[in-house]
Amino acid sequence: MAERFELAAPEVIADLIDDEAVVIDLTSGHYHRLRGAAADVWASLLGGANDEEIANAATGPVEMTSLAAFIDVLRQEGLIRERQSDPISPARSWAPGPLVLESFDDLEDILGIDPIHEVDPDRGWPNLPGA
Amino acid sequence: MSVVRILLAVPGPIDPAQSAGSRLVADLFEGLGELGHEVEYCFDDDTPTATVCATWEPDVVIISWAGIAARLLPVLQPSSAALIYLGHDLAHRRVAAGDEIATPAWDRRSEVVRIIEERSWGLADLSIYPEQTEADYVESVAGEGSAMAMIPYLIDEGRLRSLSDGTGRDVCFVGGPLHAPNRDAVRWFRDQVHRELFRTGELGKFHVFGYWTPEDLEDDLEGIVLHGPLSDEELDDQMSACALAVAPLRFGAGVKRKVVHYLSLSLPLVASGVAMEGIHPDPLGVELCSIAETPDEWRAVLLALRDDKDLRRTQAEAGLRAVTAGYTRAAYHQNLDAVLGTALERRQRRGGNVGGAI
Repeated sequence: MAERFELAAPEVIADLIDDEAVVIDLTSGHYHRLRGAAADVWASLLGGANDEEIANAATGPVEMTSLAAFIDVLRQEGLIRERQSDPISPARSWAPGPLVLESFDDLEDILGIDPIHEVDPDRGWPNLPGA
Repeated sequence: MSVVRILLAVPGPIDPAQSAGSRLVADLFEGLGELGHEVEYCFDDDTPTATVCATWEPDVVIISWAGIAARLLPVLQPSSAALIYLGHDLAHRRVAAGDEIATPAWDRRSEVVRIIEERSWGLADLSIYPEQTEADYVESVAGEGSAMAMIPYLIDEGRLRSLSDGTGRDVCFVGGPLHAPNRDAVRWFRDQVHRELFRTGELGKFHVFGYWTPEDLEDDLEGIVLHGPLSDEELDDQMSACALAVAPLRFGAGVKRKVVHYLSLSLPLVASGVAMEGIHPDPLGVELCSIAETPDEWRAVLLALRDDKDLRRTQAEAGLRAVTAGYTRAAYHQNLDAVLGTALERRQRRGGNVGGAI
């Protein structure tokens, strides 16, 4: 039976900004954007639909290897995990298109760390590590 | 209030000498201890805060920084501890303002930060912010009583200084380079204001305090002196030796520790409007500093302040009065008592037994 997934909470949180899905990894400080078809697939995955159900809900032909690869990326990034026991929602209707996870790491200081310089442990200030 | 066990959860070891955020947390730790409470740090990258909570059983957990608050608060919700989110500023507003003058990877990233902050506001028993307008904003989103203002910085009365009013022409800035508003401010001031006045001899050197490296300023250091690790006393001495202080922040949010620090040293100050947001006013209503925004205004105001001894003295006296009224130990302790009382009361309303007596 095909796998079902859920959000890897509480380390990962997600929301919708207009039609885009925003996924935030609070552990790494990275955040991700999913647009178009990727946002639709994301929503269906969080609803508990598996890859076959998601493909069946498409309004056009779906390349299953691309869909599987996309789901694998989400899992490898730690954004989703195997589903426990929540109820399952039907997959949402979607128009096939590029399945892209756009990733950003420019908010790490806000998301997880106190912005302090790391200085070279031997040479001290003002030498940065490895400089 | 009887003794309360308080766990202060931060992302990792802090260094008050290097960042205002660390200083705020260190002041909080010190202030709570002075009130007789049991306070412990928990570095969340070392031992998970939830594990520490389970063994130490604090009455209150204060979580600093949006990222770890959003991650820890749902984990800690079942505990009996009152949960406080310490917001250093409204980070989504700071990011939005910064993105207006930069080219962000994604022009809606302030909304990403807002998602995180809203989660923390919704899950905490109380959110605390350095400025009343910030707390008011959070209440408008998360509900009445969900947030309150906390005096952000503890200025030791022993560190207050009167105006030295030397004859030099050097200017100074204090603040860490990894805080985006500071990085922007120093580079902007160097390029748009200081360089011209330094070359004509109208201003002296620009002293930058806060562990900056030459790389932080793209190795463009004409007329600039970078200062490394200093004790509090050394820092105050070297800053006081400058004729003027500057706070040329073009974006940011919340109360700026650098401004409180300048005022506590009676340093004549030129600042942007953003830099002065939320600063406690002089009880007598006198202006605390000279305000400038554009490069032309900055140059004119700096030279005017440099040449006006009476204005420097008037502002310095007003600054000391403002610091005494808003940031000294007595005010700080009173404010902390109110924060703890409110958090514990709200925790009791949420349900469950609070470990310590109020």
